[in-house]
Amino acid sequence: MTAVVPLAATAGLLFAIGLYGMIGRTGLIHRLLGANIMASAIFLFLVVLSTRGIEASADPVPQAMVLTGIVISVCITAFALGLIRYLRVMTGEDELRRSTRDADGQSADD
Amino acid sequence: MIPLSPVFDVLLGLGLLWLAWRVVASRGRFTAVVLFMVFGLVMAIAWARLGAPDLALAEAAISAGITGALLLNACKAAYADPGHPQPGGPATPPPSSARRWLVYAICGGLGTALAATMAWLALGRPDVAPELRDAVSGHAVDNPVTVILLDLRGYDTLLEMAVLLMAFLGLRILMGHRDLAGLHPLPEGVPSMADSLVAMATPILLITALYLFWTGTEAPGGAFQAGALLGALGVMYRLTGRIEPLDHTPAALRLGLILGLGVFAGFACLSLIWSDWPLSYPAMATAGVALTIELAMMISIAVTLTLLFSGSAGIRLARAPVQGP
Amino acid sequence: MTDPPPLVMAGHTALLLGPLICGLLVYLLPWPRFRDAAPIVLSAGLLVVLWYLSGEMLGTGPVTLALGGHFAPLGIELHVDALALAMLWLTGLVGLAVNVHITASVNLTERFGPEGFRILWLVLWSALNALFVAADLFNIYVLLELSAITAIALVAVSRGPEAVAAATRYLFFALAGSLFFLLGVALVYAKTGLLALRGLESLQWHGPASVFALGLMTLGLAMKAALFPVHAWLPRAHAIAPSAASALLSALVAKAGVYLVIRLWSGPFDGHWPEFLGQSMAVLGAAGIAYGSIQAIRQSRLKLVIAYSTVAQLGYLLLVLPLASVLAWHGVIYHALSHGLAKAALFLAAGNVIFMVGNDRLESLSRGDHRLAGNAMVMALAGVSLAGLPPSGGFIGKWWLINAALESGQWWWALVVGGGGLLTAAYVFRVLRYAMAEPHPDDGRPDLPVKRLPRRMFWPPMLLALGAIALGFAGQWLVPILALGRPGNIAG
Repeated sequence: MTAVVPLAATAGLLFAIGLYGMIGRTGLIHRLLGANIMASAIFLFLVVLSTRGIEASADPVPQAMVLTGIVISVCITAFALGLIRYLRVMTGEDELRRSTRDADGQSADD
Repeated sequence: MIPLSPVFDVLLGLGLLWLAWRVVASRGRFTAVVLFMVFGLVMAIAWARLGAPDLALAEAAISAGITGALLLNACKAAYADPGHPQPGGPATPPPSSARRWLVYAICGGLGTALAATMAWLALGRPDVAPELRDAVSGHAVDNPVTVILLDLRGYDTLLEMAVLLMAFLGLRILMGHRDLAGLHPLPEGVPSMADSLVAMATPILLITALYLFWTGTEAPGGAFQAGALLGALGVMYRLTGRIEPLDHTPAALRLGLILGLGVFAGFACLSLIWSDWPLSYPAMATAGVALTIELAMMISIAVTLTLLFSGSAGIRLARAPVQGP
Repeated sequence: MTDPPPLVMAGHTALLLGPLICGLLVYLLPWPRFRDAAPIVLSAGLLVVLWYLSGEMLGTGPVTLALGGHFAPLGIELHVDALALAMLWLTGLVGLAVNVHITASVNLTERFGPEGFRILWLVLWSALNALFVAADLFNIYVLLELSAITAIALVAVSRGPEAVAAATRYLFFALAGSLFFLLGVALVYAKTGLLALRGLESLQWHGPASVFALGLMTLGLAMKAALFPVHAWLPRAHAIAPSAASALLSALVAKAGVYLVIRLWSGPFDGHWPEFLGQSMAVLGAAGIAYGSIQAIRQSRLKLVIAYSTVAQLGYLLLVLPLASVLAWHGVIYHALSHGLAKAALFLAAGNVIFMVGNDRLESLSRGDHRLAGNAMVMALAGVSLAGLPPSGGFIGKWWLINAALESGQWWWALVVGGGGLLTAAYVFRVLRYAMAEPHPDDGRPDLPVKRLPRRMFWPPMLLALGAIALGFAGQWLVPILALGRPGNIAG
């Protein structure tokens, strides 16, 4: 059971590192990687919660949560990459610019 | 859990932290993505260490493997070609140092608070509820995680299949546009080793995937791991040109995409016939029904992951023979 | 746990899975008539189901159901009470209006294809129905992710660079929101071993960890609901989406986030948060009301006005946190219901304007063409409810909130509600002023002919707006339903 404390603390710090990636960097790929690290941190914590030592069997609920979370993570990442690639190809942007004027473009119904 | 010295765990934790820091702080995208893939693999090792081998397999295959492939593909497709239009407007000014220190303060504070809280909570975590333990051990399916995924919390799994499908549809809206170059980078030239690699990998991956699927009801394994391995096979085929992109989705492919979600949702409604509640398994045929649903899910996961990597509306097996060495 | 009659569970299954299965069929089958007709038939069917379920609930009271028959701590529970029922009705009515509207929005079917809109909306509809009855923390997380990915895809569906940029910004906010929420769920599970809201309510687990978890989950939900100050993604995203999608996003999806905040604070976390935190949340709500309304007054495009109005109106719902009384609870339910109807009507009407005139600049409203007049009427009716003028559902909602504030001695919230109403009236009247203005005689721009509006596009928003007004007369009649299943902290 000695793995519990170091890995749980690691999970907490990893979440903060991932958060830094999301809000401290401007490149979209780096922000997406930061989000993935945040997700991995939460999954690590959940796996830590599921361990019960050598004798007892593990708690299956957090493990099911992690498996679901991994698949959802890859789905969101794939979709996000599509948006990022599309943005890059159409406008050459690789960050979200804070536009100083309101969106003057047409609405989608036009 | 394997009894190893605590130093190993501390080293594992430090390794994860160092890798994560390098990912978010590195200048280049390619470096960051590669380090992220290594991070995923070390995370898989950590989970194996914590006694969750099926999760470790899923993490290595899906998170390090397929996500890594998606990221590398995106980096190459969108950033390697200098011919893209240059961003208009003034460049974003670098964040002021006040803002940077604010971000550091927030992340540092939150990280410390979380590390302390999580370590303390993990030490005092409560035991599994006895009703849950009885329900899991008395179930017709032996693998406890499969019991949770398919029966007790099956609705979450159903919704997760819906998320898979929505990711594909969202991507298809963006990438299905045939006029946009740069969205479908075809492999420029297949290295000569790739043929032998694919020839070796195909039977191994197929058999491992089918084994994992079959044994998922009793031992660690299941539809997700099997589907991820088959998806990885699809990614390899796409990379070596054996699978070509299409700009529409043929009917058979549509069926494959919705099979998992459709079978599960259909089962949920049908179970109102033999029970008062949706998503309840018939007492006689629990394992059989679970296996059927897992089969449908495995097919859908494999097809969807391959299509997510391909980024196109559809795929087909290549007609022209692949160039040999 | 007494088993409810089997038809009740079947009805809820239809609500949760019906739209999803319809979406799969729409995706598989290539017949355009089917794609148009099936969602409308489904809408009508689900409204009948809701009618039956409401009747049942009047007899039995609020209901707890479980999927697969596995009640907590084994499986996933659902919980239906007055607030959930109101939101289900809202989803059903707005859904029917949107389903009829999109059959005639030619732009949608030609440019986006069936994959582009319908199946996304149908799956989102399933997810929303499920969110409003959800009673399990991890189930809520998965539903949040599903609704986010469909909503983001609906914003990006037109594929223009602005739309994709708005969708990407939405995605990063929603992603951060989900991750904060999941972290909170993990902390709750670590402390209690439970995920079901009902189980958490009856457990004594107060402590700093629970407040920490509540804070993380609230932050996550605030990002998804665009509550002030993490709202930056909403105005552009809702303005640039196709108007039918904007109606859904503003009236339903954003509201789901605030709904969950209220659920958590008055359910499992009731008693964990100190008084000042409740006041602070409502202060943020008031700030949102002020900021959103002021920004709405400054816009020159109709859809941006309506989008900023959403940021403002969601703030009212947070007032139930400090004002924990029956009247406030009823007021919030009423406000959520009428705002949803009015907002959907406004966005659909804005879509009609764009269909007829080609853009949504406010000056275009003063074209003076008689065809725009009917649409202006829709906007006027919806605006009356939004501003809280009598007779309308919005008026009753605000009236009850003001009375609740005065009764509990927290008179400053009454000022907030009243002031918010004045600001809302300001931007509503500004829009109507353009709509009623005489066209400028020497307007040099060549006028494109105003297109004729099909009936299928005119009547849905009109009926929604009339519904918002009709709620103003139904207050007393609906009280017995509103009284079902008050959370524990609401003083009787």
